Amino acid sequence: MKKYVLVFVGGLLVGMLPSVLRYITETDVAESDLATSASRSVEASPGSDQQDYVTSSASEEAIYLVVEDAINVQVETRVLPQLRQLIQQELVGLSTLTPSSVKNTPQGAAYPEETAKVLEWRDKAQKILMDAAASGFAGEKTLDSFSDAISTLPASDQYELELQLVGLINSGEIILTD
Amino acid sequence: MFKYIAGKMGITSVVCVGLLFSASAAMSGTKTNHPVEIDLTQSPPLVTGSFGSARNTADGRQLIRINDRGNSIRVVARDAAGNQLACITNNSQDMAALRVMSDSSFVRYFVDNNTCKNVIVRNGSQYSPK
Repeated sequence: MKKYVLVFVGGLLVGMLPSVLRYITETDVAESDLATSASRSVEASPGSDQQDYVTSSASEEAIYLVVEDAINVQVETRVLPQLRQLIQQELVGLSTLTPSSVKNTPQGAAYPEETAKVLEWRDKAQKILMDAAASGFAGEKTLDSFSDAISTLPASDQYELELQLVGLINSGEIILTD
Repeated sequence: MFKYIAGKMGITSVVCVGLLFSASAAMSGTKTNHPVEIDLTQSPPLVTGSFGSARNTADGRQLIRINDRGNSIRVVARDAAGNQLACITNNSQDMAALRVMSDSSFVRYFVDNNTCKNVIVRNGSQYSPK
């Protein structure tokens, strides 16, 4: 009889083992949560006793890692394209600089070759305008040379220079000869 | 006899040619003349004219010139008095209108602060071709 009782109690204990283990684990998690919130509350209130500070548990570090990964993903998907766009805008912005301002800039020589070409053509187009205004006349050839010179410039530069030409014609500074 | 026939043919030919001339004059279509006019009294100034009329005038001054670079179009006009007015547009509607101009087109637009505005292009048989 004693033997049967021992077997029954043993079986009961083995059957309860998973429940007991689950209880212990949950208690650990709850304690670690408490520890985390405690550490955060200590950090948030500078005047509180530093002895209450409890270091982060392993689970919190894991959370930080996940958050860090998420931030990295955000950087790759959002910030990097924005940065790329900003750099491109800066490059386009450089093309609107006048040649004289470029010469005065120490970084002038470091501009990409493409930008340098844009500046060159812009300079050429402006020279055509200045020469025409100085002489007071412009024929079909001059207008065509001007159009050719600005053809490789960005659309905004083209429009700006075209507007300059139109302004010179309408003010009478350039008289059309043919 | 030969002289008689030749004489008869000559008279017939002259009559036929005369009839043809009179018929062509009677059948000619409507023709209108639209020299370049720059009305500086309007605000903003108004430009009107047709390519054909501008080219066919004897004054040697009238001009309508369109420079299309895809993203913008510049138009230059000069009237018989020598007034010149240029404008530029990057408005898609105005550019589309200017792009349908042919050698027998009439154009009308305002020049507001160096910009072409409210462009109208008319195509018709009455406008003189270049």
